[in-house]
Amino acid sequence: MPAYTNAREAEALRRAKMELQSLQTQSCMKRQKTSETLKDLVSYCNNNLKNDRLVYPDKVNPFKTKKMCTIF
Amino acid sequence: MRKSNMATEALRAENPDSIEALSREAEALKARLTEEKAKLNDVDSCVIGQRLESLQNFNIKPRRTLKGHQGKVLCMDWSSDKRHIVSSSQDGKMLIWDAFTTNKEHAITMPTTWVMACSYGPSGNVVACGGLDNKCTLYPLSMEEDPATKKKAIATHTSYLSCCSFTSSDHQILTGSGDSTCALWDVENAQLIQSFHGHAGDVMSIDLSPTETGNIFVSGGCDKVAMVWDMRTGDCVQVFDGHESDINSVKFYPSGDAFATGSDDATCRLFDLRADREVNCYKKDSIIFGCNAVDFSMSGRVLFGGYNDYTVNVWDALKGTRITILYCHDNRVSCLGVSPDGTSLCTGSWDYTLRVSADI
Repeated sequence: MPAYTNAREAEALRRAKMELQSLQTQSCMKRQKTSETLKDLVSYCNNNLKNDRLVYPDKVNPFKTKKMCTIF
Repeated sequence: MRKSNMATEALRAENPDSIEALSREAEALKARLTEEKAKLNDVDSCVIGQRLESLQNFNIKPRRTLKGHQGKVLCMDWSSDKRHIVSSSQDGKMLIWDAFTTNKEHAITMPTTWVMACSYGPSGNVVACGGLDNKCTLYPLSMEEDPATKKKAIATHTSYLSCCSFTSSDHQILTGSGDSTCALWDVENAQLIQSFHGHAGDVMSIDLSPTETGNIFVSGGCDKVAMVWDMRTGDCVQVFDGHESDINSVKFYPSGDAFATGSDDATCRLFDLRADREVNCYKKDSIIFGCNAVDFSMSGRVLFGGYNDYTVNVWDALKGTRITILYCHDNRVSCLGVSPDGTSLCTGSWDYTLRVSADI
């Protein structure tokens, strides 16, 4: 190892090595086609859409303001 | 050039481990990665989105206003009981709200102003927060005692705390900081378990994978990239670029296979983990202000974005179109979150208030 003149240079070298290592890990990654992955995103959503209370509101929402008058 | 410098130059030229050689190799790898990723983009998300029916009668409105902060609201989080909310503010206070009644149950004063991060523990019995104090402090909540008497510093960074989030239990907390790192801490012993180095700018937001086996989290920051990390090894396993300015917010799609980002470049984007690329961009010519916070509805179909132009833009996450605009604040919308049961949306703003909106 060459003796680097200052700590900043050593830090830059450490970072460069780390970035390269990360890139090497990334290039080994097995990727899938968007046609497959997007289909899964859509089907997850469709399977859960009926229970999505911000899309299909429930009659009993805790934030519903209670009516003040009651009929006996 | 001085003699010693010349010697260093010569050494570097020979050394395959020199910064120049390393960055050359990195650049080559980057180019190959971009090429690989492009190959797999065999269908446009708009094509898939077009086949879906549009969402009709979207009608969420503000139902509660939480007033009490004396400064800009900077962060909020829901309790797992779907009823309580913690919020933190520029005024140096953290407040615990009963969102049903709008009552304040606790008010905790921090040593510094700009409390940028706050988080509820999964048990609902503790909260953690921090900001310009560079620390993440834990407060156990009890009705008998003032939480401040039991406070405990867990984490320390070398710059401000921008975000924090408990993992699946009250025992571990993940933090993000202006010192460009994220870190995982043991709450009991206040000890560092793992640190995550790789961002080249302030970390602004983190989100843990919703899948139980995930063991990953995503972070976004001022270096315009989002990174996916392996919690156990501390390695950055994926890097997502595309944004043209700071990323302020990251949030996983509920299935855990994708995540959304909100950025100062006035766009929100959707990145797919398995395709390893951007798959959607939510933008309009009329939207020119930055987005500070994003969250999904329970199914993932709706993406809420809180913007600097005081609005919340509601996007159809799959079609990529805007469903509606919510006008519920008089200043920047700084934070937002969908309740754990998916029934309501809480927004926090620089107008000093929080609002809870729902479709009733």
